[in-house]
Amino acid sequence: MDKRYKDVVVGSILAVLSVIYLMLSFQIKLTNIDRVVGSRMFPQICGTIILILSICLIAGGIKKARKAEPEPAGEKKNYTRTILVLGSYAAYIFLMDKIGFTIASIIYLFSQMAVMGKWPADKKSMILYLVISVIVSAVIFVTFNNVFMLILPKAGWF
Amino acid sequence: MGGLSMFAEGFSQIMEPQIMLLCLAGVILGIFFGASPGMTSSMGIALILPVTYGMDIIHGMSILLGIYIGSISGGLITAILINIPGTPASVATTFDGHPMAERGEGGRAIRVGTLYSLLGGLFSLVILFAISPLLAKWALRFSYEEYFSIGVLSLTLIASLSGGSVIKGAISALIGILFTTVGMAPVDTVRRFTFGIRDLDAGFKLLPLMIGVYAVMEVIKAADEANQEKMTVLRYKSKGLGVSGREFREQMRNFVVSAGIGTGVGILPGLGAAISNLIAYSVSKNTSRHPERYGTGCIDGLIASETANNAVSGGAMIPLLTMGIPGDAGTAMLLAAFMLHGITPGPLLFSSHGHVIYAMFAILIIANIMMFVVQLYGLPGFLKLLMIPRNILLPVVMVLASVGAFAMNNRVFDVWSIFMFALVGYGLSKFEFPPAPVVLGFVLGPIIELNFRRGMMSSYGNFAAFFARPISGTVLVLTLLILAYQLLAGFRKRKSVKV
Repeated sequence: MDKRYKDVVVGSILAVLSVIYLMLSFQIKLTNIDRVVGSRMFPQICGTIILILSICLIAGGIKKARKAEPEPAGEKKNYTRTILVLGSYAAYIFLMDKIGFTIASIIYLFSQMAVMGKWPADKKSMILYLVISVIVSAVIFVTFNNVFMLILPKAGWF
Repeated sequence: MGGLSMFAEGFSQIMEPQIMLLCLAGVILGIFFGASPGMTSSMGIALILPVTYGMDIIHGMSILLGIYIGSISGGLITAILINIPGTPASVATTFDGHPMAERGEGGRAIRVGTLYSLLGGLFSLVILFAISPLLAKWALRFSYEEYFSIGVLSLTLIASLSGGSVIKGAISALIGILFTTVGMAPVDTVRRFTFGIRDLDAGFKLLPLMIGVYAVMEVIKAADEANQEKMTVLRYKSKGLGVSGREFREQMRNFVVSAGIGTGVGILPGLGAAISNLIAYSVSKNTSRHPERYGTGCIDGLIASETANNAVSGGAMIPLLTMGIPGDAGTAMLLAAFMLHGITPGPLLFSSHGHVIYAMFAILIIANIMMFVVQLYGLPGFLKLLMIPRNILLPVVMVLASVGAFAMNNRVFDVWSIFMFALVGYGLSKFEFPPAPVVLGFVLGPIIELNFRRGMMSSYGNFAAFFARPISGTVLVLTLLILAYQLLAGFRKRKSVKV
């Protein structure tokens, strides 16, 4: 994406989203309890302000983009780690519900440490990550379950 | 209740070993969170909040307030010795603190910074103790109209002063509000934007929002910087308090002005320590007789920054305790902690739960003193902890955050909402939207909506009623003036660019 058009792009996305939000707000039921304002008005006011501000952002962005010189194509940013970080967290939440907190946490901690560490990781670091993942997950589970009496997601078999 | 008896009651409640230990643990954790780049006081409170679910409010508050106080101060360790501010609150500390450390005076800089953190904190507490009971009495007269207008003023301040573009600040705050419109509406409990999903009926919670917007972002950032070089720590051995009696007297004016700025900024909703240190630093520099020394490692700049950021702590508690309106992201988390324990901060808190308030005052004093002792004597320990690689520390933080979000209501939905907010936060940061207004918009949204609706109902739909009441009217006019000033400033800027 050309950096000069950043504001125009985000302004347009926000404008579309606020229009969708405003349209959905008309589905909110009106009741007899509050006939003066109702539950629609506040979201509609906020949605309208966002829409107006998004249009301002687009207008300002177009002006800025016209003045700015086109930037020379820089080095492309690598998003692999970002995607892996978000992906492994999503997988963790999914697994937490399916295989229980402890096992899911071990898998998550290990993979996240590996993703965030130096690439390629050596054997020694991998073993360290695994040991830390197992100890931390077990300690958190025992502490929260037995000391703070909080229930953590458990699978039937663990 | 008189001043002394108030303290006597407060201290009598907290003088038990368990509370002292919890407070100490909070301070230690807080300094660690504050010193770790990317971790802030609000994140620290969010992470430890679940631990307090099973405690009573005073035990819970002792650890949370310990974190709050410790984390604002802890940022100076990394700011001085590594030149990376641990939290945004210590950005100005790097200006003079790090040059001092480069000169071999790192230890002295830490000692001066810690001493003035304590003094700044205590100064703001005196103001808190003096003002809040009176303000609470005054706020008893507040009705829907006043709460609505103060909420709107807070949002305006947050949007306009969060740094960068005002439009982006305002959009961030409004996005925070939009998330609060999901779930049951106030007054008539109509379902809004739930799309038939049962979990959405109760709406989103602050904890997942906070963790999603801040913590996950830090993990992503750290992953991006994974292959960078290790941090180098400068020498820090020193003795004494770092300032002589003469220097202390010379710095008195600088201290009082910076503490005043810090406390004032704390009272204004939404600004917080991140801005106070920069304002105090520039005021101190501009009013100094030797501004040329600033930035080269003079203690004046260091004192201004560290006094002001800690002075925010007492100031930010004032609107939280008297009106239920948080002064910054850290106090927003404290508000969430109150709610979890079934207590709603506001003017009635002083009469209905006076003992809790007095105990909190006492905890704040103890936490400040503990921070001073722990930071001075535990420094080598903290520096060792800071060397834990971020690729090991941050995933553990994420697991703890997920446990906290899950344990709040025992549902995985809240953990999924962390993920959703992380995506939103990531998107916003890519387009340079500030994250703090999202959090404060989320906290203030329900206050504004509820009081707007109740106010409109009591005036039979006449919005002019909000202007008719003296306090509410004044606050709304002030809000309009700020908006007009912002528009004018934006217009002038554009004109000057054209010329």
